Amino acid sequence: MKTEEADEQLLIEAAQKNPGRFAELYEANFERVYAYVASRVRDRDEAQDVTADVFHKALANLPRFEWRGAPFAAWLYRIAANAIADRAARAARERAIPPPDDPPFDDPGLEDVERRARLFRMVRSLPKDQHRVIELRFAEGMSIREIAGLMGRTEGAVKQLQFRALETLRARWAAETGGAHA
Amino acid sequence: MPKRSLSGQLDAALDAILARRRALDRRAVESTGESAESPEAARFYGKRREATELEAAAGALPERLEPLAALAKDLIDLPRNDFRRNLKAELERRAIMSGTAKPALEKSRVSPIPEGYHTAAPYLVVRGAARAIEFYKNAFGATEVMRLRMPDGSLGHAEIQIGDSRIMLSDEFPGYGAVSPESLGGSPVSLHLYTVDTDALLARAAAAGATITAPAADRDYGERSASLTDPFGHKWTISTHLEDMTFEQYQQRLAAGMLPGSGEAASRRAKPASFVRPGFHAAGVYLTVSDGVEALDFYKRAFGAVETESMRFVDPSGRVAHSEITIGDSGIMISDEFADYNSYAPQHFGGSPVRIHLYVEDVDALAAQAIAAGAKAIRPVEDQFYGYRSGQLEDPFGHLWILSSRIEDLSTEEVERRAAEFAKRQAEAAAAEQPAADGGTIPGREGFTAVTPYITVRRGDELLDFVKNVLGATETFRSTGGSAGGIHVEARIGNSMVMIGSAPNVEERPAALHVYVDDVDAAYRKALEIGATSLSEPTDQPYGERGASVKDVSGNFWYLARSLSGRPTPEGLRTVTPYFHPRSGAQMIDFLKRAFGAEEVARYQDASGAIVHARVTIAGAAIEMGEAHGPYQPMPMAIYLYVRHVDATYRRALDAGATSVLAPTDQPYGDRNAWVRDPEGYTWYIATPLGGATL
Repeated sequence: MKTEEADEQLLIEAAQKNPGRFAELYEANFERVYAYVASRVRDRDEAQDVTADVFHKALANLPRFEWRGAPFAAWLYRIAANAIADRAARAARERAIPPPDDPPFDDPGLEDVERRARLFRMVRSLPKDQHRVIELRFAEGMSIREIAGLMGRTEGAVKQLQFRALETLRARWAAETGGAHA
Repeated sequence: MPKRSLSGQLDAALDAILARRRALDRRAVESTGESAESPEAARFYGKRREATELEAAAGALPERLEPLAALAKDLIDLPRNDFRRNLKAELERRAIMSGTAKPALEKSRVSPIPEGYHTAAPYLVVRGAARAIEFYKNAFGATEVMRLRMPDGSLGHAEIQIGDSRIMLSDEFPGYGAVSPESLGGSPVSLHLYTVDTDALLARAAAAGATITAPAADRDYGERSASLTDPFGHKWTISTHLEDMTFEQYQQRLAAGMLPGSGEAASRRAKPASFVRPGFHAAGVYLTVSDGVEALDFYKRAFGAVETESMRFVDPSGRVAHSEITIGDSGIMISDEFADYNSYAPQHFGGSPVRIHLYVEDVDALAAQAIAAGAKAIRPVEDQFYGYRSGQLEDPFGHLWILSSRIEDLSTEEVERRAAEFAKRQAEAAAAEQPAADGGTIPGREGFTAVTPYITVRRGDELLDFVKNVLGATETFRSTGGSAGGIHVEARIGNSMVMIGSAPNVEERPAALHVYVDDVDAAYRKALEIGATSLSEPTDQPYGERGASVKDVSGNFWYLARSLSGRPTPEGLRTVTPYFHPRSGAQMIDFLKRAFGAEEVARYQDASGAIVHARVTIAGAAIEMGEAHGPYQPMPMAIYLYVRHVDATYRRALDAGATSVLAPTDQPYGDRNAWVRDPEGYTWYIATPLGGATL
């Protein structure tokens, strides 16, 4: 058994005994679940709703989780897929049209999801100013002008920060994975 | 081809990626409205398109930028940081509630000023803080950061974020001096918000329910601004900083009668680095004071404020029309009162619903400095359960300041746990101090229980005749005096005391009282003989008493009764018990519980749910009630209530919804007391005998 798996198993057992330890499982898996959900729902609000839903369900069902060798993430992806399908069925019912027989997507690549999740985590480790710019630009959808106003810097300075942030990410990505991004 | 910097070229590519992305989102939303496609299908097909369209959007890039653009494409679904944090907090809360987890208590050296805060933050008191948070979200795009709910459901503390600034708020707690603009009839503090687009924010706020008090306009000081009042009575000015201007430029402009919006000014405009005025944050305060020059001097001495002297504008009469100071990293604006602009100092309202919260390095040192400069301590500097050391001051101009330093870094869960513990301790302390009387005596006030009816009439002698002749009362104390020729009498009826106050022009406060007598029929006859009118003739009641009721010449209702079995006054009961006729019995009982720690002993409701009869006790002394009906309309009488701690009970009564008539005062007759009126209009004299005093 790989050490990563062993660690995860210990974490799961700890959280099953003491729900207070669930936060660690959450930290280890948040970006994955979010990236998975975001790639399959319509917009950010819905991605947040479904992600919250997934973790609440996971916390509630954790005592029944049995370690069978599959990674914990696979269990979370399953909960997420069901949550998304439920929503589709509910939305369809509300709009009085038949729900799709199958979720209308194949598996658009868990590899993509894992890659994005890893990148999201990497953003959190950026230097503070660079992190802020990336967060405001991508997560908050702000323009360079708005960010400049908010941070009290010139637009040129913010563009420069943004450039440096992406450069940092590229360099770290290469260092961590030993290869180019995607 | 024009030469552009790499960062500029990259940004153009990102713009394209993000714009395509937004367009796809919109298309997905629209498609769900019109087509039979499920949102997921729309999203899926959207995603398919997206992949290729994003490729196209990035266009041709220099080789060095291509990997960066590729990274950017993977970042378009980047989760919001506050979402991740909030969800974690929510899950931890839930995990803790589900049982076994214990929050880790880490105590370490922490920075006294928590990260993400500026020195100054507005602290708003709002009637309906929870609703206000929703409003500020809708109107100003605020995000909720935290809320601390009190056991009774009210908001003890909440924080929202607007732009780079934190705003704190709480519900009203009149007992702690936290009053809303609605209670004060306005506010001497205007909240200042800087926004990138004043017109858009104004429209949004107005749509959410704000009242516009000044439309958006370019101001000669280089800002576009507008003013509004929110539905809770707080005043806001929203502004966009348009140009950086020196004082000299501003003076020249005033002299030339030129507005920044005019062509000439616009062409000269120096484009500012930020929409926020230099030295300020997204949210700040504008204080109105009764003496601007004095106040500026005081804030410098008290808080080490630095004035931007070039921004002080004094009108010909010497009043400060505008000034700016900086405390720590935060700008604060100050002016004198100007009725034309509806700006008044705290004295005009009798207080302020906005406190200025300062995070400081050393709260004790700064508080001492401010007090030496003339501030008054409202709440002493103390360690607070939520991990801060803080105190509250009132400056000589009536503005309220909270000074605070962080001493422990606590998780939200730990704060909530401690809040619950704190509330529990408060309740226990309240319960411990509540029973002023057990079995019926007040130390220093022989014969009195916690609850004594206080009947105020104009013809006191006639009332005394009634209680002596009909009820067999004996006078135990009388004092006359006062220029109005009033009397205060205390009389014993059976095992109970009543107080009677009388003066020729006093506002009469007749009472309704349940009183046990030896012979109901005889008392009823005697009452009518001396002028009382009958409300109901003597009858045997199904609940085992014979009863009759009369109204005396002063308008008091007397419910005469005796038990049909055994002694006339049932075992354990008082001869005289106040009988309330509130409009809402449930609300009255709730008030008595919260204000005075009353216990509900019995409640009888009819089929419609109306409270026909209920009985509560305060420190063992009973009050009965039946909701107002027919001839028994609300009769808000007065009760003299003996408690252990007048001041604490007074505060709780106000928090429970009473209004203050008289704050706690030592009286010459040997009691410390306070007067409040409850929501049904009953008057409560909350009292405790002063040690050693004699009547």
